[in-house]
Amino acid sequence: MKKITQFFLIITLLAALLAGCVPAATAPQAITLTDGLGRTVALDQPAERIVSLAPSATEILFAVGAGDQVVGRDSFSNYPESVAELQDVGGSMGDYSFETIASLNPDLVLLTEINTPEQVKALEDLGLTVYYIKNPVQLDGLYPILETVGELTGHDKEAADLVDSLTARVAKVTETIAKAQDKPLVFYELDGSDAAKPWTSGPNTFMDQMIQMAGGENVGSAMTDAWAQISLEELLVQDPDIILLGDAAYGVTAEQVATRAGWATLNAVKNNAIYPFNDDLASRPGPRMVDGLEELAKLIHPELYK
Amino acid sequence: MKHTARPFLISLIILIAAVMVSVLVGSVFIPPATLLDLIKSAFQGTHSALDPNGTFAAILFQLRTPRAILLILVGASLAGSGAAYQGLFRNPLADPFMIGVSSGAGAGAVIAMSIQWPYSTLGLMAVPMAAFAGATVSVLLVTQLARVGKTIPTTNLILAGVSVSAFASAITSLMMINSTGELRRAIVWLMGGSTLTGWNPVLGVLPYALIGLTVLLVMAHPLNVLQFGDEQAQQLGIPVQKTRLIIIVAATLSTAAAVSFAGVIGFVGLVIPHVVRMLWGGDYRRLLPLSMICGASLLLLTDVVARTIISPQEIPVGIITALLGAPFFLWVLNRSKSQNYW
Amino acid sequence: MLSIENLSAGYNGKKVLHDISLKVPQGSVIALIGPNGSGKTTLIRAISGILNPESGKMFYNDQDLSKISIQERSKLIAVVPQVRNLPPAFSVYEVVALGRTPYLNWFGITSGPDHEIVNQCMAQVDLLEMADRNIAELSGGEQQRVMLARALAQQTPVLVMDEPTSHLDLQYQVSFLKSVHRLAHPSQEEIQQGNEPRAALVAIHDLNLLANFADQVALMVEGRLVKLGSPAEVLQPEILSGVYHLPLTTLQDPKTGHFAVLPR
Repeated sequence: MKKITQFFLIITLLAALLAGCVPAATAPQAITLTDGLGRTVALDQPAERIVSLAPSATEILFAVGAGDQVVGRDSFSNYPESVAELQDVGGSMGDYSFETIASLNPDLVLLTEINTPEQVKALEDLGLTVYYIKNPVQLDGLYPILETVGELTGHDKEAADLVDSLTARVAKVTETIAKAQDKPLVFYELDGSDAAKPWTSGPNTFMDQMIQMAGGENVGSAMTDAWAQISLEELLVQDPDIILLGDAAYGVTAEQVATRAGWATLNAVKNNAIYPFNDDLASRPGPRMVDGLEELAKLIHPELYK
Repeated sequence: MKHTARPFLISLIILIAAVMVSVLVGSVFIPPATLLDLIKSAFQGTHSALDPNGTFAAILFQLRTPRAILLILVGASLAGSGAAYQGLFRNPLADPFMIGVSSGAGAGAVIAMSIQWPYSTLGLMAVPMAAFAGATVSVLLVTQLARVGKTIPTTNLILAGVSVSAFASAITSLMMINSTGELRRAIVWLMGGSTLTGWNPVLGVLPYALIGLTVLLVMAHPLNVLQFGDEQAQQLGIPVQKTRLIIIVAATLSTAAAVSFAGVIGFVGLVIPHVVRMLWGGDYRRLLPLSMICGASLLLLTDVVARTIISPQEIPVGIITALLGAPFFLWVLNRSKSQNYW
Repeated sequence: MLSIENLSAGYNGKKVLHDISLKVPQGSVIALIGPNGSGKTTLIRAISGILNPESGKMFYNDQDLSKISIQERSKLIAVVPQVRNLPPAFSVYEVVALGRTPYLNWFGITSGPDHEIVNQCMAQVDLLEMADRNIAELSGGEQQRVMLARALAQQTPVLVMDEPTSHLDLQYQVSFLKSVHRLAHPSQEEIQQGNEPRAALVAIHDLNLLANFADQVALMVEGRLVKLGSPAEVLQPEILSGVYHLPLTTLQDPKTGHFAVLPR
C-alpha cells in the first residue's frame, strides 16, 4: 500500500510542478496603440471581425495570417483571390457603404492613407474601433506596420516571422546586386496613353527606391513630382536600357510600345527590353513589395540570376 | 388667389413620403418592428431589445437620420437659391452657382485637402471651412468686379461670375494635377454628396440655411416686382440695389454652406424652380417656399437611388441629379414651348 | 404740383438735359414733345428717380424730391412705361396689384382696401373682365391699359408717361389719351368718389392727338425746353419746321378747333 501511495504522491507532485511550468492561459492583455492620425486605439482582445477599407491593408491582414478574421473589404481589394468571397463594402466611387460596414459588426476597421479623415470620423460616430495606417515612405517602414497589424489581430508571432523572412529576402537581393557590374537605366511607365508625354514614378516613390535597390537607375529620379510626366524628347535623350510597363494590366504590350511614333529609336525598344510589371507590387505598401523587388532584380540584372 | 393651400399640401405630403423612404431604405434592411421599437426606445432614452449590438440604432440615428436632415437643408438651399437667382437675373438658366459659389468652394476645398490637418474637431472642419471661405470670397470678388458706382448691374454680375468661376476652376485643376493622393478625394468631393455622414455637417449647415432661406422668403414680393426690370421696380418703390444685395448675400450664405458640407450637387437649383413654375405659377411668394420643399424632396429621393442602385457602391448624389436632371430638363423645355410659363 | 427747377442731367459725364425748368400743376396734362434724342425719356427718368441729376432741384409742392426715400417717391410719382418685354407669368390682376407695392410691407400682403383699389383701377381702364387673363395673351393696347391701371393703383398725385400710345391702334390711342385727360379733369361725381385731379406729364410722338387731351405742350430740342404753352401756341409751323427740319403746316378743324400738323 505504501508504494502505491508514494507513487501517487510523486505523480501528483510532478503534475503540480508541470502545471507550474506550463504558462497559464494569461488573461489577454489589453491592446493600446497610437495610429497614423495620432489617435489612441484600444482593443480588449485581438480583433476577431475586421473590415479593411484598403487593398494594402487587406493584403497585410492575410499575410500575417489574420485572413479568417476579415469579414469585409473594399471593392478594390483583390489579393489574395479568396477575398472575392468576402462582403464588399463599397469604395469604387469614393464612398463606402457605412451601413454595410456597421451591419457586419466589426470590432476593428482598418484604413490607410487612401481613406479620408472624414471617413474615420464617420466610423467613430457609429461606435466602431478604427485604426488608420500611415503609409510607409521607405521600404523598411513597412515592417513596423506588419508588426502593428500582427498585434491588433493576435498574430504577433507570425508577423514577426514575416518581417524576418522579408528582411532576409531583401538582404539576399542586396547581396546579389552588389555583384553587378553595371547600372541599367530603367523607365517605369505608369501611363502611356499620351505617347508624347508618358507618366512615370518620380523620386522617393517605392518604385524609385526599388529600382535602385535592384541595381538600376530610375529615369523618373530626375523629375520633381511623385507622379511625373516626362516628354518623349527627354526620354529619347535619356535613352533607357529597359522599359517596364506598369500599365500592362490595362492592356499595354511591348508590341504596342514598339509601334509608338518616335519610340522605335529607343535602345530598349531596339533590344526588345520591354517587360510588363504588376504595378500592384510597387504601389501597394504591403509584403508583396518584396516580391516586386525580387522581380525587378531579375529583370534588371538577369545575368546575376542565371 | 385660388387653391392657395393645395400646392403646399401636395408638396409637404411628397416631402414627408420622401423622408420616410430615405430613412427606411438603405443597404441594410431594418425590419419595421425593430424600427418602431428603436424609435420608441430613443424617446424613452433606453436601448432597444431587438437591437442588442446597437447596429440598427447606429444606422438609423447616426447615418440615415442626420443624412436626411442634411439633404433637406441642402435641397431647400439649392432650389430656393436657384429660384431666387432666376428671378433676380430674369434668366431661366440661372442656378445657385452662377456667381462663383461652387467653383470658389471647390478651390477652397481642394487647397485645404492638400494640407495634412491634425485629427481633431477643428482639423476635420478644415475642408468645409475652407470651402465656405472660398465660396464667399469668390462671390465678394464677383460683386466688386461687377460694381459700377453704386449699382451692381445684373449683366456685369453674370459676366464677372463666369470669369471668376473660370479662374477658380483653373486653380482647382492646377491643385489637382499637382496632387497625388488627394486627387481621388478632390474628384469625389467635386461630384457632390460624399461627406454626408454624421451630425456635424447638419450642425454646420443649419444656421446658414435657416438664415439664408428665411431672408429669401421675405424677398419674395420684391422679386415679383423685379420681374419688370430695375427701372420699373424702383419706380414702384423697391430699393433695387439694396434688394439685389440682400438676395445675393442670403442665397450665397445658404448655398455656400450647402456646398461646403455636401459638395457640388447640380441641377436641383436649376430644374426644381422650373417645375414648380410650370405647375403652380411664377409668383415668388409661392415659388420660393414650394421650390425649397420640392428641392428637399428631390434630393432625398435621388440620394436613395444613389445609395441603393448598385449597393454596396455609393454613387455621389451629384451624378444622379445630373443624370436625371438633364433629360428631365429637356422634357420641361418641351412642355414649356406650348405654355407661357416663363 | 411737380416743380422742376434748372435741372441738368446726363450719362457718363455727358450732359443730356440742360437747365430744364417746368411746372406740372395738379389738374393739368402737359404733353412733352420733341424729336428723338431731345431728352424726353431722360427727363422722365430723372423725375421718376432713376437718374440722379447733376444739378438743379425737383419739388413736389414744398418737398425736395432728392431728400426722400425711393418708397416715398413712389407714392408721389407713378410712371407708365412703354410696354416692352413683359414677364408672361402674371395675370392682369397681379400686375395691377403690384402698383400697391409702395404701401405694402416686405411680404407684399394685400388687404381688403388694396383689393378694392386694384379692382377700381382695372374698372377705370375697362379691364375688369380680364382680371385673370395672362398679360402675355393681351393685345398691345390692352397691355398698355394694364400699365396705366398699375400706375393708378399707386394712387400718386403725379403721373408720368413715356410714349404710352406708341403701339396702339388709333381708337385705343384716342381712348387712352381721353382717360388721361379725365384723370387730370375729373367730374364732380368722380371727385366726390375720391378721385383727386392728377398732374400728368406725357411724352408723346404723335403731334396730331395733342389737342385732344393736353392742356399745355412742352417742346424739347437737344435737351433744352424751348417752348411751353397751349397747343395753339406751340404747334406753330415756324417753330415746328425748324425743330423737325421739314416744312410743315398746321390745319385747324373748324368744328372742334383741334389742330393737325402736316408736311407741306
